[in-house]
Amino acid sequence: MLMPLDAQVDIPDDALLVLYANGDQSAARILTLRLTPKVFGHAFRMLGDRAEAEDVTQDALIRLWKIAPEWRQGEAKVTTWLYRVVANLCTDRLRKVRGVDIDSIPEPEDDSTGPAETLQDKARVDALQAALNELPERQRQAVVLRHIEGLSNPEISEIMDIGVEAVESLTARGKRALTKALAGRRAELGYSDD
Amino acid sequence: MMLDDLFQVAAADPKLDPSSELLARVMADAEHLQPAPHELNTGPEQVKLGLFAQMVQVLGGWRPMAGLATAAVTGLWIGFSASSSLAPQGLTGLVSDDSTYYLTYFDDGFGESLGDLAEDG
Repeated sequence: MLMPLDAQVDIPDDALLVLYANGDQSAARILTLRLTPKVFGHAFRMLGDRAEAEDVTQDALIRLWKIAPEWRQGEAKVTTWLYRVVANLCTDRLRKVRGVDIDSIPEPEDDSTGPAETLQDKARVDALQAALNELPERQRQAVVLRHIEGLSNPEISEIMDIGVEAVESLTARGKRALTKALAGRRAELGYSDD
Repeated sequence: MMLDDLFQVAAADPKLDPSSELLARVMADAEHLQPAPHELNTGPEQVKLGLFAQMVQVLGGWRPMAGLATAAVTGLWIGFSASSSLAPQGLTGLVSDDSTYYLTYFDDGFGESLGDLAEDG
């Protein structure tokens, strides 16, 4: 059974996942196009490395495809489940990195510039990513989910399996740490002091 | 505020669009791991009947067929058991290959036996 692409735009992720499990190839395509950017973006912001983030993305989505036949519609949000899987996979990778001599690993280099990305925007994004990389993992996850991915605090609390107040505390501490880390680079990044 | 602006720039960062290679890898996984489509249930399967079963169906089913078979066997039995008045050694003689019969065998006896049958009835 194939449905036209425009008919699937409004279909929720979990309904598409059920269609996928029933063999609908267009559901597979829509889910890939819809979820891959979210998963990759989050993985990159957590890891700060494109190749690692791509591997995590592929791994997380493989887990989704495998669980699809058992997915119970309406019980959990697909993106919530995915963000949780991504967080676990990122934690595993970060632990492996911490287990080896940190100085032996070359700094991730990503000099690519997107078509619409100005040099200043690139400098700003790189500066923020460098500051995010210095945050404790849970703070980084909460800040990224809240302020870059734009998720609500209740949803983040579900993903991180903590209370809403704990989420608020993590994001507040994370923002303070980022402000402090970036304070000396205001002029360099094109911001005035006022 | 600087931090909020940085978040906005980061959220719109085109560099974080997944590459076409990554999308292709994910799509290939999705297709590889996708369960096969369920067969549509189109009702009870049509069973193709054999020649004998078709013949039985034409004759009205197994009950009429059983009655027909019984009648045929009974007729055959009557034919063999009561035929001694029609031919020497009965009809069994006809099916043995070394027998020769002439119409004169039936000359008087055939008429008499028919008469006997009429009297008995």
